[in-house]
Amino acid sequence: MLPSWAARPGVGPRAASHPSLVVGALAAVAVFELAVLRTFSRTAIHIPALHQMAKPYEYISFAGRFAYFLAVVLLIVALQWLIRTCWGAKTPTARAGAVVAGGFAAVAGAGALGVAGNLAVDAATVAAVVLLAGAVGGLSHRGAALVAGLFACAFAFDGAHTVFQALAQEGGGSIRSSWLLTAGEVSGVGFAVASPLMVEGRIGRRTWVLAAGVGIITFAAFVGAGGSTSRILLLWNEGLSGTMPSLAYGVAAAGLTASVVGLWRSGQTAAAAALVLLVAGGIGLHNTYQSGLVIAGLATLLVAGAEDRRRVAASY
Amino acid sequence: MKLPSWLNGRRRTVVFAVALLAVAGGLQFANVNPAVSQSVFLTAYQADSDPGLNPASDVWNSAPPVQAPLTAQAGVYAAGGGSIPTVSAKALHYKNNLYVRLEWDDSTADESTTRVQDFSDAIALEFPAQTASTVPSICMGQADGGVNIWQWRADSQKGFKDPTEVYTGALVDMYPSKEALFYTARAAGNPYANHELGPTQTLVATTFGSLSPAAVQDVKGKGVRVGTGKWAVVFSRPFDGSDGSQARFAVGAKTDMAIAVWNGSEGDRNGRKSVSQFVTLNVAGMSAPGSKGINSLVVVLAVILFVGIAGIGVGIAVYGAHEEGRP
Repeated sequence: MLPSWAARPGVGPRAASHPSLVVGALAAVAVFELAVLRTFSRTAIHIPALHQMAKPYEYISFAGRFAYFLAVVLLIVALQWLIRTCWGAKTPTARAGAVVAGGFAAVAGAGALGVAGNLAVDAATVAAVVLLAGAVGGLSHRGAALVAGLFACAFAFDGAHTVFQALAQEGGGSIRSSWLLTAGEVSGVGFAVASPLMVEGRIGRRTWVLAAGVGIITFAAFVGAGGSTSRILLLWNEGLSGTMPSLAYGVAAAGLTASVVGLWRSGQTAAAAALVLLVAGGIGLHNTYQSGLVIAGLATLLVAGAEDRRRVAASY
Repeated sequence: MKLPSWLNGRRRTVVFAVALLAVAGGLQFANVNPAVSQSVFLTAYQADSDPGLNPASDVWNSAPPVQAPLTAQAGVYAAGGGSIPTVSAKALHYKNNLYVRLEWDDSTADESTTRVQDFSDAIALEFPAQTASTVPSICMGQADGGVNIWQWRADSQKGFKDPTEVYTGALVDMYPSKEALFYTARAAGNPYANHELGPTQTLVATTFGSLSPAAVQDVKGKGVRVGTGKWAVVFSRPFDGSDGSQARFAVGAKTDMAIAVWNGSEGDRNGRKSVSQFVTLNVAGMSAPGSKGINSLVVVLAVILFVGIAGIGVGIAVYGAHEEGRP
């Protein structure tokens, strides 16, 4: 059962296409936090005569930090709602997803309390993302399954590097695992390029034009004078080092834009919010907040898939 | 209190939203972050004896290493580097002194910068300054979050080479004077012209272009060539340091640490270098569990675990695909 504050009006045939209020709010606040705290406050140093803008900079940074804390609180509420909703779907696959998401929430909470060590939290996060992506793949159409799989591969390759290094710190011996980062980079770009496959139906021409524009701007940002900053932001925010040709990142940005706008315009707003959460969370292990965004994104896709499944079954 | 008409029926939603904002504000005010870092972490274990500055000391055998991947520096002009793919880092502490040992492959020992076309091998660690309230930008910090940098240079450790060693065809009759005044860089206090100051510098920065030597220079460092074509460097500094604005360490505390390496033979200098992301430095109150070579059993178990989890994930996907009503 949805809590009344989270339930959306007009639950109907396309109910699963709309995210709950709390998931939608989480996606919006996470994007604001990504744009202001993780991006603006770290690029404002390029603005000439920044000392003359110290106060506005402080206010914007303060707003970004508040958005971060608000997103953390929203994430806790959203995860609780998503776990209950997945469990309420009453299919084994959705319930498996609920158990996995609940397991992540428990381990992340134990990590915050100092009960679980870094290695346990890291390994549990990678496992949760892989298993949850599997559940999403099972309940979604084949395009979405491929996209979720590519994301899980990228996250697992990147996260496995961190886990192997944590193992070394626990006495497991020195392990050279940086090749996993390259595999994660390729899979991460592949996820973004393939993401339009999530859209059920045709993506409109105007959406493609918009996506092409974003892709060209991104490509220009990677090859132009500011290319160095673009790559460092990609590394900082998304966990990708930007070692592939600039064209790949332009195509990836175009793909993600086409996906989010296409999903939104086709009424699949839950999937659009989920994709936004995956992008805000990034690839690999950064902190339990960003990992939580990824788990919330995958769980949102799972809820949408389970609802679509129920709707299709009911129509027979 | 009477709510505006447009809020009729939404009282619980409004109350909930206000509660969320209040909790978020409370967390920000109290600076309590419920999220924990999941970046690569390096644990500084307690050493049984003083590691000293010798990177070849046996004390380091007990410390487990972490491999920090490096990428080309892409943050500022002149971007470049990337010829050093990985640094192996170890950390220990002894009697409230932090020791960090770094080892990396570099087949050429570039220790002289006498010629203008020569550049030195070097390595640096970057920490958030004590005054930083949040994790600062890895690129020399930011306006509200400074960074503290420790740099070791091979040429500063080696000392000056006689110019006739480098320019073998040169003929020098005599220098008229050997007073400091005639060596302007040395007289001006340029640390690179005063090798007796040691190979290590402590620097502070709050943005690009603001990098400058710290008022107090209390970081020690020493590098040696080890194995076949490797540098090993040890940095050491007391936990608290002499300057309160610089990075501080304590048993049980964590901080962020980034690594940069310069490969002189590849033309690396200034911003042209190989850089890591921040790793989390964890100062532990216990002794090291012991460092081994590659523990095959641990690696095999980890690989089996990952493959097993991936297999279960695929199994869930296949099972879910065969549930009734796939769209």
